[in-house]
Amino acid sequence: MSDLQGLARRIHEACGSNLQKLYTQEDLIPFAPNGDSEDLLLAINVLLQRGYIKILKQGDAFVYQFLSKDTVDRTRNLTPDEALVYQHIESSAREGVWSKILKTRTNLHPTVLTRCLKTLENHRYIKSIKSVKFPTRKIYMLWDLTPTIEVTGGPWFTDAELDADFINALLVAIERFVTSRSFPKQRPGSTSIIPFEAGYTGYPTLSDITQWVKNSNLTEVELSEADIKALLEVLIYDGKLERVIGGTAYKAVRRVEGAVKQGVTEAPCGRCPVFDLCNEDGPINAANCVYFEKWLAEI
Amino acid sequence: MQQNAVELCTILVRDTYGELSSRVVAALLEYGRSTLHTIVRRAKIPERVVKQTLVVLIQQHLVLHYTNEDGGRDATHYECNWLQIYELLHSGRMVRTIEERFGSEAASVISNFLLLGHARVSDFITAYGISTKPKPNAVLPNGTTISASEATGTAPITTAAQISKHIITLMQAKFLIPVQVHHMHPSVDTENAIRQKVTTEQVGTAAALQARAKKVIDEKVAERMEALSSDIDNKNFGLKRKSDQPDGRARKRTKFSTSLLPEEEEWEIDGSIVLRVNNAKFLAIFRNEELVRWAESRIGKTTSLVYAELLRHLEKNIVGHRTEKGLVDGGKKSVVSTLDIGNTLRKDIDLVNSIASGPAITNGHKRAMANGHTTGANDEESEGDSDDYDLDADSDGDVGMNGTHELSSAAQEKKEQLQNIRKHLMLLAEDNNQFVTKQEGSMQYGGWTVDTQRLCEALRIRELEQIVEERFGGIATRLVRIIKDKGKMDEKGLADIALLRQKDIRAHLGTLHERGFLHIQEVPKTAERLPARTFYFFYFDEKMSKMAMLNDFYKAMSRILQRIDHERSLNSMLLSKADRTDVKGHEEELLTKKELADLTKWKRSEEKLIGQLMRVDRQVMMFRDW
Repeated sequence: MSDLQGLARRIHEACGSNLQKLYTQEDLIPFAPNGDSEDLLLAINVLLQRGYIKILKQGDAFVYQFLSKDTVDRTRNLTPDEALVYQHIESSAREGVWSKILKTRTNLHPTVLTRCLKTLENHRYIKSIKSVKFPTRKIYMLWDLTPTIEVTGGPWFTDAELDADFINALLVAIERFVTSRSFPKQRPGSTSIIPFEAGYTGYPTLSDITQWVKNSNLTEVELSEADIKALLEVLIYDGKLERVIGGTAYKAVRRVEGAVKQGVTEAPCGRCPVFDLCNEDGPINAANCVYFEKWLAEI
Repeated sequence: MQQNAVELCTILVRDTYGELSSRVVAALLEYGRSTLHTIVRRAKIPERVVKQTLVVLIQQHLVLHYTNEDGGRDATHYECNWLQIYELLHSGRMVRTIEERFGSEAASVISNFLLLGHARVSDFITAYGISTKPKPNAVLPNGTTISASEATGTAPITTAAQISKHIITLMQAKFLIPVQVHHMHPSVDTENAIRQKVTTEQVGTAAALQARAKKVIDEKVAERMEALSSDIDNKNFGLKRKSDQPDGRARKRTKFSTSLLPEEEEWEIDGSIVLRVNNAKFLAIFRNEELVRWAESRIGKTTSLVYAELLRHLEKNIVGHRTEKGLVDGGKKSVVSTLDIGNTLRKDIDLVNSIASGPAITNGHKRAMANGHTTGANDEESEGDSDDYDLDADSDGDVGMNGTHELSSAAQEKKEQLQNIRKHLMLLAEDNNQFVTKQEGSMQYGGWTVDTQRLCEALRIRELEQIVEERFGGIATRLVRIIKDKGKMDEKGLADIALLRQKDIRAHLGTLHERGFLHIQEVPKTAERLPARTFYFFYFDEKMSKMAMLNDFYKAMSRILQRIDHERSLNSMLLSKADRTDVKGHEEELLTKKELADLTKWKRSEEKLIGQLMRVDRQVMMFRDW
C-alpha cells in the first residue's frame, strides 16, 4: 500500500476493505477532488497496474473489485507471464482449465507455460486435478478451491476412480432393506414365503429408501434421491428388485431356494470352453469328452 | 435350418427308425427338397429301398411330398419335415400327459398312434381287437422303452367300444385330429397351389400383376390357408353325431355310471377317418405347465395351483396351430370365470394362509370391502326373513358377522372359497408379468383371460437372461438388461448406468459379443474410420440371440445323444447279457456283483443324460415353438 500516492491511496483506504462489493465508476467519483474524472482515471490505472483491483464486466458496464492483500502480494511476486497464466486459471474457477486450452488462450510458448505452471504449483497457488470425464487431461485450478461435481463425478467417485466397493456395499444394504419390506413376516413353522395380497401399498418408495439410507449411518457422503435412484436402477437391472404400483415403489423379486437351474448350462455343453470345436468326427467329440466324464461321475 | 439341427434330426431318426431312414433323412435335410432320383443318388441306396423308407417316413409325417401337376410330366418332390422329427423327442412327455389326464388306457391309445404315425380308425380298432399280446412298446428316441405295463396300464383294453370311447375323448380334446390332405404337403406347395387358383380366378392376368391386385391375392391366399386348418377348430370334427357331453372330463366321470350309458351311444366316430396325434396341442400344454412353474417361482405354490386350474379350463378350447409367430391356440379368446375355477379346484388347497394381508390400515379397508361382497351376495340368495337379520346387523354395525350366520355353511364356504380364489387371481393379474388379465363383465367374481403370446415372450427373455447369468455371471446380466432396455449403447454410457468401471465391463461385453448375445454397430466419427475415432454401439437383437441359442441347444442335444451311444457301446457286452430273455427279471441271480454295479451305474448315467436332454428340450420349445 505504501507504493500508492494521493488519490489512489485514498480510494484504496476507503474501499479496499470491502472485497465483496463491486464498484462502478460512479461509485468512485466522490473520491476525486472536484469530481475530476481525469484524476480518477489516473488513480484507477495506478491501482490496476499494481494489482490492487481488477476489472470485471457487469452487463455493459465495467466494474472494479478490490483484491485482498494476500492476492495482491501473490500477483505482485509473479512475472508477467505467470500472472497471465494465473489470471486464466483463476477465471476458470471450480471447473478448472485444461492445459491445452491455457496454451491457446495465453499464446505462450509451451516451455514458458510449463515453467510458469511449475512455479505456480510450487508456490501452492494452483493445483492440478483429475477429471472423471477426461482422465488423461491435465486440468489446473486455484489451490484453495474444491472441484465441482462434474469434475469429480459425484458421490460414486473417490480420487476420480469409481468406488466399486462403496457402491456394492450400498447395493447390498438397499436390497436387504427393500426385501425386508416386500414380504410379510414369516409365520413360525411355515417354510415358504407368502406374498402380500394384491393392492398392497406398503412397498417402499424412492423417498422412503433415501430417508432410510440417510438415517442408517451407512455413509457420510450426501446422497440425493437421484443417486439412490441410480442404485435402484442397477438393482432392477440385476433382477433383484422390480417396480410396483405404477413404478412409484419398489419390491424385491421373490427368490426360491434351490431353484431349478438351466438345462443347458448345467450340462457340460452349456459351459464348455471348446464347444465351437466340438464335432462328431473331430478331435473333440462327445465320446472322448472329459467334461461329460466328470459330470457323469458326479452322480 | 441350421447345421446343428440337421445333425440332431439325423441322430433322432437313426435312433428311432434305424440307419436306412437316417441316411434318407440326412440326404433330404442336407440338400433340401429333392426328387426320388436325387435322393437315390445322394443317399447311395437302391431305389427300391429308398421307396420303402420314404413310405415309412411319410406314414410318420416325417417326410412331406408334393406332386406338381401343371407340366406335361408329373414330378414328385420330397421334403423333410424336421419339426416333426424333433417331435420324436416329445413322445414320452405326451404319453405321460395323457396318462395324467385320461388314465393309462387313453395313454396306450396315444402311444400307439405315436408309433403308427397316422392310422384309419377302423384298422386301429381291429388291430386292438385281434391282438391278445401286450401292445407294442412305445420306443423313445434314446432307446429306452416305455414298459408295457406303463403304456397300457393295469387294465388291458378288451372291447372295441372301449377303444373308440377313448379315441372320441381324445379327439374332442383335440389330442387326436383327422389327417387332412394338406398335412401331407409342404405348406409352401399348398400355398402356391392356392395362389395359383386364386390368381386364375382374378379377371385378367395383366391386372393380377398390378400391386393392388397382388395384395388382394395375398389376402385371399392367407384366408384360404387359414380355412384349411379351421376345420379342426370345430369341436366334433370327424365325429358322426354331436355329443351332449360338454367335454372329455365329464365323459370320464360318467364312464362308471350306468345311467348315462345310453346317452353315450348317441354318437360315434367315422370308422373310415384317418387320425394322427396333434403335436401342437401338446406343445400348448407343455407351455402352460411352464407358465405355472413360473408363477410358482414368482408368487407362490398355492397361487400357482389356482393358475394351473385356470389354464386347465382354457386348455379345453385349445386346438393349437403352429405359425411363424409362435404357437396360436386357435378358436376365439376364451374367458374363464372365477366360478368355473372354484367348481373344479381341489378343496384341500389352503387358500387363506397363503396370502398375507397388509398392515392394519389397509386391512380395515379390505375387510369392509369383503363384507360388502358378503352382504351383497347374501341379499340375492337369502330367504325371506333374512332381511330382518340384516337390519339388526346394520344397527349393530357388524354386517359381515351376521351375514355369516345367515347362510348355510356349505354356501358360505363356497363364497369364501371364491373370494379367496379371486384374491389369488388378483395377485396374478397384478404381477409385473400380468399372468392373467381381468375381464370386466357380467360374470360374478370376474372373468379372466391369459395372453400367452406376450407371456411367452417375457418367459423367453427371462430364460435368456438366466442363461447369460449362469454362463457369464451377474455383471454380464446387468449389462444385457441395460442394453435391452436402452437400445444401442456405447461402453461409456453403459458404465455410467451400470455404475461400473469401463475397464471392468469391457471383458464381459467382449465375451457376450463373441457368443452372439450382443452385437456391435460401428459409427465412425471421421471419414478415415480409424478404430480410435469410432463409436462402438452395443445392441441386443432378440431374434439373433434366439437363433444363436437354439443352435447351441441343438448341438448340446446331439452331444448328449452321442454320449448315450458312447456309454452304451462301452457297456455293450453287459447290456446284451442283461437283455437276454433268461436273464431279464432274474438279474440278481444271474449277474455277478461287478456286473450289477456296472448295470446300475449305466442306468444312472443314462437317466442323467436323458434328464438333461429333456431339460434342454424344454428350452428349445420355449425359444422355438411357444
